[in-house]
Amino acid sequence: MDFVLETKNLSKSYGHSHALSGVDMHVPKNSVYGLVGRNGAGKTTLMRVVTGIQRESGGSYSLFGVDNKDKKIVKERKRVGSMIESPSIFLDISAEENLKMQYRILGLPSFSDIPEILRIVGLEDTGKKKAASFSFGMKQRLGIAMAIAGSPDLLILDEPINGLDPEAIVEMRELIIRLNKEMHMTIVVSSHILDELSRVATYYGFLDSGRMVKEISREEMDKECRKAMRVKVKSIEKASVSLSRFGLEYSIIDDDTLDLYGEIGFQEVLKLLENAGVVDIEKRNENLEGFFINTIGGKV
Amino acid sequence: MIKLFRSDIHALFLDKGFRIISLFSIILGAFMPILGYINKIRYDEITVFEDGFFIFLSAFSFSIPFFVSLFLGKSFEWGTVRNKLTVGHRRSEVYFSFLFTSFIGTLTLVVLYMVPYILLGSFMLEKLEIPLSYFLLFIMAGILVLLSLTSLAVAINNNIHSRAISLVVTLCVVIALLMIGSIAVQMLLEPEMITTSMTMVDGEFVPIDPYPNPRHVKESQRWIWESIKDSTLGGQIHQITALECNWKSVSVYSIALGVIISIIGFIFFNKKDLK
Repeated sequence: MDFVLETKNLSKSYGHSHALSGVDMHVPKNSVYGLVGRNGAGKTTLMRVVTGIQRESGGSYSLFGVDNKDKKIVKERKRVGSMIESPSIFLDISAEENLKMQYRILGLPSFSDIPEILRIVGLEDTGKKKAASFSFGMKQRLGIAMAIAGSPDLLILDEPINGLDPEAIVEMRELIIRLNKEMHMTIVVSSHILDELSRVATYYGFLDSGRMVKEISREEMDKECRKAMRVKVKSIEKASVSLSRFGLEYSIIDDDTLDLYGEIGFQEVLKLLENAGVVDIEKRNENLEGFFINTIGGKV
Repeated sequence: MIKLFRSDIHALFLDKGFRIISLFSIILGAFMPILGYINKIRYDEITVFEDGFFIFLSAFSFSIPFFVSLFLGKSFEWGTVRNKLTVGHRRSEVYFSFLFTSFIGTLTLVVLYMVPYILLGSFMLEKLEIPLSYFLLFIMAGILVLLSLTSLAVAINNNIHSRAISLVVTLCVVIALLMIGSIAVQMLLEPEMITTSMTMVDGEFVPIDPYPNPRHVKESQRWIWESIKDSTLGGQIHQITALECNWKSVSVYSIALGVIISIIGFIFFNKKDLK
């Protein structure tokens, strides 16, 4: 698999505080990578380090296969756009002037693409209005416009839907999907709103206390998040035989645990697996939120 | 770095704070000859061209920290410096682009001051009394002093990212340098002997014989105070304004300090974790 962004044992410390500890991250090309974690987990720090805003304390990362210590990384950084923590915009000029500033920084010769970028983010009608008088959602969108100026191949967005109203959240979601599908951008996006993230992400990375706890694709996540009953038994062989006889779908997790899928009640399960000796039963949560709680809580 | 420099120059000339300070420079440049002309009409005072010309050095000692703090502080507070780093510009490019842009800003302020002064002063004021060559050398020394001050402001503002705090710190440093320089000038002006003292004897003032001035700086220490006078803002501005400038020494100190301050400022900036 082709990885656009990889980190190897990446660490970042501020004095005695370890914001990142040995993070290994793999962002596949053309994916939407959802970075999930609690407040203070290290998501923003990770994004600051890989975008070059801060230096790592240990480990390394690579962009498009180029190591961060290689001088060629400078060229690869031009293929990255980002919005970290808050939109990086000039508040005293218009949206168009902001994009012209960004184009100058990028050294792009022509401003002809700017109207299209403004249309993509929905700011085509702002005219000469200064960014200071934009709504929060408009500022977020301008921040994304600045990030996609120059058509980057990798877009890194830190909590882009925080503080947005429901309508703006939907617009942002559609924008992210459009950027990924139509402009073929690989996107790394962090968010606390897991329900929204689950609608756009194709890969997930779970960060907790500066460590990458788990990376998983959406397909694998969907499998794990299916409605199921997790049953602990004394004899997994007897349980397998019983379940197979009744044609029920199940998967064996380990020597004494299995997940039983489908609409089936507790009493029925106890009856079915009576000879296998049921030790414990619990209902599995079915969405990203539940998976997150289980993963970060260390149960997985 | 050229791309970055162009972008920063553009941002500078769009900056409201810089535009206001530029307007102030034009007004100051026009005001001084007009004031001289008014004095001539009202009080028959002769004002030569160079009288008051170098007042811009004192004024810009405060204007420059303002425009640098507002311009750089805005970039850090609004996070637009991040845009430069994430697209591959190095820390050195960011720092020195800000530095050279600020130099251009300082030079622009000087030109905006000089143009109205020269235009109006040419017919409102009397001709130069000092040789033109010295006048131009003093201008050069003055510009180098201001560029050195600009380096200091840039170094502080690249490392303190709150506009308000960086402005306060820069102004405090400027005031301290002005005071130290003024103290050095005063120390060096103290005569060796006090000759004009009097005392009262039987109701009459009687002159006292000259006696050694305890505040007079001895030869062994004189070079220290001379160096302080030539290297600090207060001392440099005083010399140039008084048209008694050791222009070579002032110029060399200004260039050297500008370079050293920029290097130190960059070293700290390079290590700093940005947000």
